[in-house]
Amino acid sequence: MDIIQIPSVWALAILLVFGALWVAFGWWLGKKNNSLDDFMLAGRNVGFAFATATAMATWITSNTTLVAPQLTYQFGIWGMVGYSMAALGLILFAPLATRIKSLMPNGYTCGDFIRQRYGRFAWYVFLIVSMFYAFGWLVSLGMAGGILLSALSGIDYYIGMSAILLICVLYTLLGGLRAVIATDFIQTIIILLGVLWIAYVCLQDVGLEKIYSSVSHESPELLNLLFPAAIMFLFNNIFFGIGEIFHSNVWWSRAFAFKKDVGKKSFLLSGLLWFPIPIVTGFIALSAPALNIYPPTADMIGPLVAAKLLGEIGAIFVFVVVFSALASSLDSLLAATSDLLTKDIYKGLINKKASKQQLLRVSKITIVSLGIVTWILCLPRVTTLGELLNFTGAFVASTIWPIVFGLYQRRLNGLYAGLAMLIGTSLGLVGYFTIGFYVAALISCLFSLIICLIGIWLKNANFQWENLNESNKKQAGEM
Amino acid sequence: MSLKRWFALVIIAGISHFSCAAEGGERALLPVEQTSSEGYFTLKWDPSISNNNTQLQMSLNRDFRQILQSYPLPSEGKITLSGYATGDYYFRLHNLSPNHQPENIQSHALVKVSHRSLESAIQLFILGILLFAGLVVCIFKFSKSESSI
Repeated sequence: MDIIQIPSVWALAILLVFGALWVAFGWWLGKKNNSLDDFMLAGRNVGFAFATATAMATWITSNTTLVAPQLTYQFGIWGMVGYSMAALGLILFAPLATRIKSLMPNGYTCGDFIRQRYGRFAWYVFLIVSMFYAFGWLVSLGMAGGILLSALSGIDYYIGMSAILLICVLYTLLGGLRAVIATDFIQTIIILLGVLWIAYVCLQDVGLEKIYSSVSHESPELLNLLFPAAIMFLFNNIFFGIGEIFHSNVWWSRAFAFKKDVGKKSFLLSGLLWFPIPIVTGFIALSAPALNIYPPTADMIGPLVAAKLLGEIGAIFVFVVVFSALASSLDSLLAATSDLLTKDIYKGLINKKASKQQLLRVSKITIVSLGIVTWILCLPRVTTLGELLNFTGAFVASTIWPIVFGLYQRRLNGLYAGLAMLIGTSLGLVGYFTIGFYVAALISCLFSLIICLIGIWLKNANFQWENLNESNKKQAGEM
Repeated sequence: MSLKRWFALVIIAGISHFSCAAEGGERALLPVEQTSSEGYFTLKWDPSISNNNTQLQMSLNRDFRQILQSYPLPSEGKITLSGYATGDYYFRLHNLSPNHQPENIQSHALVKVSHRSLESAIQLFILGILLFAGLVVCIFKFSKSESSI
């Protein structure tokens, strides 16, 4: 089966040209950064268009361009639909973003909120959960870069993975969140045009009838709406997506960075616009049998089908689209995780009297360190992207209820919030290893809710909301 | 258990393991037997075998009386297949030599697909709906009464 489409030299040239463009753009934008707020939160002044684009582009990632086709290839129709349901995370975060901005107008990270709302025990648990997720996602993105290059050009996995990490670290380092948001805007346009073109060519060249007949002949379960594992996967993916967004500093930093009253509208719109994209990217995986494509690993199915459909020129375009999607998420995650480590670990635990200049320097060192650690973790390609991502589902889904109750409900205290995350994650992992990766988030979310409800019933923390704002004012003044 | 008997058992186990390994070494397609609860699975072989003359064949019978499907081999030395219904599937690598004389490279690999129970899947589905509805109602109600909190 001949699957290599782009000559290696071309692939490297594209990588260098786009890499240089993003890095130069990051450097140019970085010149406008005068303060820590500028670097970490783009001056807290992001308008509606950029806000919507960055929310959408960040959510279009290796998940959408590589994992959505993988899950469609594994779980069929439900895999495709289930994946698109991750849009609900963005939609449900819309009201939360307004609440976050009104409770903590001077806030920096989600860790700030958890520490002030719940105290140290819950904060420690939350940081562990966040770090597992952040590294799971970072590693999946680095791996995706390597997989993409090897699928489309035959270049070694390690070269592709190293190149994409290096480029993203460089422009995030130079431009901060401002560069991340601006590049996201351009990347969104490239991604949308690319995805639509691939789907159009797929329908034109292969046709629905041929796709249906070949899938029903060779892989009948993919069209079966009573496919048991796929039914289990559906709600698991919804809670995984919601957990990812609700807990992650990638999204909280955007809630802090967007102008007042922009967050709700932009998260809602980006969710609605994102919803059909996994359907489109997933759909092309169903055409694999009709095109006589059978991948070595399930996560390579998307690029392989696209490259076969579009030929050599098309493969270059696919390469640019997926590279943009990966970069738009990787930079956001690097920036947000660096904020969390700088603000929560360095300032919160190591150097409580750190000045703004010190924090800015630590933030940049952290971005580089994150890149290096991710690179090391990507070296042994241990599992498929889908399985790696869903492993983190057990962690993030446990935070959904503590975040929701924490933002709106005075009664839940830190002990039960921490226990909810701890027990939810543990039982989610039991489900991951005993049943399958497609139940971990659902189990985690369920048990986390039970612990939260017990906590609310047993004890009333009677938290005062004013404490959040006062504490943040104090911190902003110190910084 | 006496020490003598224990040693005898260890030696027998060692010999049988050695003979199994030798038999496994002749096989090109791995794993020799696997089960799948989701209808997708991966088969591996020595990548040097991958060429245009070699195919992966699937049959419902151990003797490959009827070949139901033939797959081209990815050059990476492994293939992931999906969407299989419950049942036993036999696979083998089959080399169609230039003079069109079929030559089987090895004996078969067996994949047993046994999907999870639909009943438990639907129970989890209903649980998911209830949990999701609860979350939406909570966020909606909390947001409505936000100003009063």
